[in-house]
Amino acid sequence: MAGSEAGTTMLRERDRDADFAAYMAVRQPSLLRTAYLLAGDAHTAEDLVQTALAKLYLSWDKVRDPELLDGYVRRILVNEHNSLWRRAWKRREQASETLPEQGYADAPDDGLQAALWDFVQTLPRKQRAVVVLRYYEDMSEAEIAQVLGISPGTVKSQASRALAALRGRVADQPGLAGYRPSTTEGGEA
Amino acid sequence: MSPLDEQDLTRALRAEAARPELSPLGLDDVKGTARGIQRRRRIATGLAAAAVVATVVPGALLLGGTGPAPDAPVDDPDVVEVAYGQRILLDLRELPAGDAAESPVLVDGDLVLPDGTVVEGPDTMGGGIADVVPLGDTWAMAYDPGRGGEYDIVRVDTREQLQSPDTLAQSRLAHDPATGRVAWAEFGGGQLPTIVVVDETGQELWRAEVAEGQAFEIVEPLGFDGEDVVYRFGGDPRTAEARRVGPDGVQRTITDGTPTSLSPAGDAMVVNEQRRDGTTCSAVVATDDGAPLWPQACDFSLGTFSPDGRFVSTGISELSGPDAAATGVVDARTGELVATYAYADGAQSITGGARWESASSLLLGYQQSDTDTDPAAPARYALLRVDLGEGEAQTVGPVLDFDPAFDTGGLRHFPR
Repeated sequence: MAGSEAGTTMLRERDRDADFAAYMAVRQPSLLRTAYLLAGDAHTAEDLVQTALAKLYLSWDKVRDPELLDGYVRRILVNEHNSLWRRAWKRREQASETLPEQGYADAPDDGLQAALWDFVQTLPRKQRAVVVLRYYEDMSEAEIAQVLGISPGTVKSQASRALAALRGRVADQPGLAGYRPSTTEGGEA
Repeated sequence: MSPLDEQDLTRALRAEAARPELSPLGLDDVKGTARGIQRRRRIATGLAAAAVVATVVPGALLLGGTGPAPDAPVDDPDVVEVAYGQRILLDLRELPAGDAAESPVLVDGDLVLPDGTVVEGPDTMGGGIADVVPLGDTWAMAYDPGRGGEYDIVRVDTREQLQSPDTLAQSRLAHDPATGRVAWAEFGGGQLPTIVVVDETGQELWRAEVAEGQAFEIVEPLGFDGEDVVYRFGGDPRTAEARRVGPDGVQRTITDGTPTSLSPAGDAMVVNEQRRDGTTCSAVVATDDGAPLWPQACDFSLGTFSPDGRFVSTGISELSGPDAAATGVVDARTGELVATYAYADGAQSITGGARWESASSLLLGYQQSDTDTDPAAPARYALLRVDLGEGEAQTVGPVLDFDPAFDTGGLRHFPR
């Protein structure tokens, strides 16, 4: 009897692992990219995703609705990233005001994309999370509100302030002639 | 000249996201990390028990005074004359310093009790103290040692875990000031989400399973209406409901929408309803039939009832610019405007939500910077008291200097 129970448990675990591995295979590339945009470096991004997936694995049996999985794991990802900041503050480490090295600046664009990425990295972490989820993940304000645990109004105001700041920074860059914030004609983009 | 538009930002993020080489993980990597997290959780649970530091709060964190014991009977709130339509200036450069808070506050994740005791918050990934309510002559708190949203209900004096063994709890605690009862929702350990009610000693009175076959669902008890617990059911704001359940385990839906607060008498509650366009409207509705007491508000959200049930605070707001003003308090029974918050200039936000300290004053976490053009500009943070009787705001405790990584969500107040 005990042997039969143990066998059933092993089968269940094997099914569980197979389900989880299938989910990982599909979602991991996208999670890594999102984590990279949140964290700004590849190593931290990989650590974030590893921790987020591990926590998801521990909660796998509790999440019955597959449609909720992506929101749940994104929420863990953002919380993990915020926790890194919080722990850094506890250690009284000051965040750097300087921009990161631009090892990726060989992008064949007009300079706008690299500049925008630089500016995104200077946004406060919550605004940055809103920006990444809104403009990279293409999530709605309501979906972001759900993931971040804030009101849709706050999502809207954070996104709007981030965009205004980015426009201001672009306008201040002499090398980005041709791009100016639209303040009059054309209205808000 | 072409404007920088949202598509530029999307293109830049996509280009950057595609750039680095990121190593995919294997299932074994993830399972290994999961085992490590499980070990840390076990250790952290033990550490949580040892984290209550009986010490007087030093210097900058001295926010608590010698407030009343948590089991002190709840006074009938004095009826304070409150003028309607008042405009209260929130400006850290102008506000006088007020008395210490008489109820627990959270400062950067650490809990400061009215007697000066500090309960250190978890310094682990994803952890935090989400809620605190009186439990007899001590307090009960929802404490996450680092699970990212799964809590233990911990008795502060003995560090005893109150929820059932092998279960986890959700973040919200309900407290009945009249009887001292406390309720929470727990899940796991082979049981479906269950509301548990204990008396002021922590002794279980009754429990009721409230899920519908779901191993996990958001269940947030808001308070008591007679024997019943009134609670939010459902994490999705589009489908959430206000429900009630009694000791007999019978559940009843009160109304659709996300309930956020129950009046002290249990006869009315605040419900937020998400519309198709993602905006939210708020209403005060009767608990017995869900009928709105006045037309719903869609230009601001509603928060919590005052201890005498006369007023309702509004939700978190962020405003900027000279002469900006936000609704702050409305009459719970009519929706009439009681107070708006006014700002001088710069950018301000109410970060920790407004929670009632007394029948005529509430405390809120607040941050202010002197410019509204740069969201990353240095800001200062403080807990503010809004005194409706005096028609003014005060700072409670110190004004904290700018820190780029300060967790503004970790500056808030728990009403007793």
